[in-house]
Amino acid sequence: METTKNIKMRKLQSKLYFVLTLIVILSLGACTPEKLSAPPTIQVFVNGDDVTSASTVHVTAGSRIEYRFDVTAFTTIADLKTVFFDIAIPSKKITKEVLVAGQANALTESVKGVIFASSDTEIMLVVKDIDRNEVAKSFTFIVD
Amino acid sequence: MNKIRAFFILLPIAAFALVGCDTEVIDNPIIITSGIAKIRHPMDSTEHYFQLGDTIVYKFEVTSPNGISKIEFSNFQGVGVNQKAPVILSKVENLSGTTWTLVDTIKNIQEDVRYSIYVEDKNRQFKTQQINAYLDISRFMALVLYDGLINGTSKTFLNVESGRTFFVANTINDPTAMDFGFAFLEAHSAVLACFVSFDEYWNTGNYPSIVNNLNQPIIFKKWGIGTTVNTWIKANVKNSADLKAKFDAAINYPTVAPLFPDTKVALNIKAKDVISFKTADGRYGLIQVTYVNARSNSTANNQTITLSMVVDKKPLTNN
Repeated sequence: METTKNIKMRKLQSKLYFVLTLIVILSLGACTPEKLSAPPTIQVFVNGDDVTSASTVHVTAGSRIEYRFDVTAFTTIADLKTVFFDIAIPSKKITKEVLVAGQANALTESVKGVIFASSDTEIMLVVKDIDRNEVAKSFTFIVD
Repeated sequence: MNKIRAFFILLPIAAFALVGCDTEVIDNPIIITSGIAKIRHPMDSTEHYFQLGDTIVYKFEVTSPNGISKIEFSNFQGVGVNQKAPVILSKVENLSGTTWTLVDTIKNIQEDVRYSIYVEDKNRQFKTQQINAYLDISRFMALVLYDGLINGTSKTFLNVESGRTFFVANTINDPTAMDFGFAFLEAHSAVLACFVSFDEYWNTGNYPSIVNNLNQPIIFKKWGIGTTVNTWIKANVKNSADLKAKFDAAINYPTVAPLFPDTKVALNIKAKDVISFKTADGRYGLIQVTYVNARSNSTANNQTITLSMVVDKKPLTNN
């Protein structure tokens, strides 16, 4: 014959098991690694031609170069930056950052710009998203 | 023990009940009626558009059954972000009656203006009311724009609504606020000093742009040359109809392919040039250039342009 005290103890025990199980489930949930989005992808176009894979183009001095970077992100774009490397002297690149006008508010954005060829230059777009993915893509034009 | 517990439970309930019962009683509220209109027109509204030089009548009528303790009558010049600090024109206290009336005129209106009154009765109740007189055009007489420096430290872009100039970093916060930018293309003799609609500004080479959501285009046309540098625009544009007439009479700028293939750019700008423009929402504007500092066609992007601008106001939405 079970005493009343024993019945109470067993009830308390089962409640404790339930709470413990709940804590374990919650802890496991909290420990699940954060799912990060895939990094953005960038396609590069120069004067309308896709140069994403072959990123060097030859131009004549003074010609107008219209470039476009098509960015496809998988989460919100946090930052866009263009960097220009003047490679007039191949051993010493002169770097300058140029601000990008306008606001990124979609997952697919196009960055357009123009430059008039004077010396060999590499133009790079750097994209960061809110998952801290950072991707850069560039093209180089050589003045013949 | 139970009594003490009941006491502590009932105490906050009673407190809440007492607060809830203390309803605010508005006793004999202050009534203010007001209106503004062009002279000899009915005062059917508290705000109106007027034309430069109009004579305007406005009124405030106050009825306060509890007696008027204080009235402050204030004036604000300008509108929106350009509004100046209020000026108290008059302050009267301890009036003996229960009514008060103000009727006055604005002769030869030259800028947007707001009049406001604050009325306090002897029971410390108060009320405010305002009337607004807007010109149908906005005038900005000394704006300076700078060619775009790569590091973004030059005010290159303009918002025609407010006459405010902006850095490229500002365009990242709100690209739709930018209407056009200034650039000086020293290598292109057909272009040199130019205004470019913000959606095409990337064509100048100063800054690349995210092109997906830029502002709608502005169309530029060349009206001609003003006879004087500083006063021509003041003398020749008096109202919205003048702006439209001048835009209709103006001629398109030539296209400069492949740089600028359409009319979203004003080219080869010089001092005294008069440029008409039309915004995407159908408002007209006129720019007179005061001075172009070409700095000997330097490649350092340090050129400036000084201009005066008159532009249609956006329509009132509650009038």
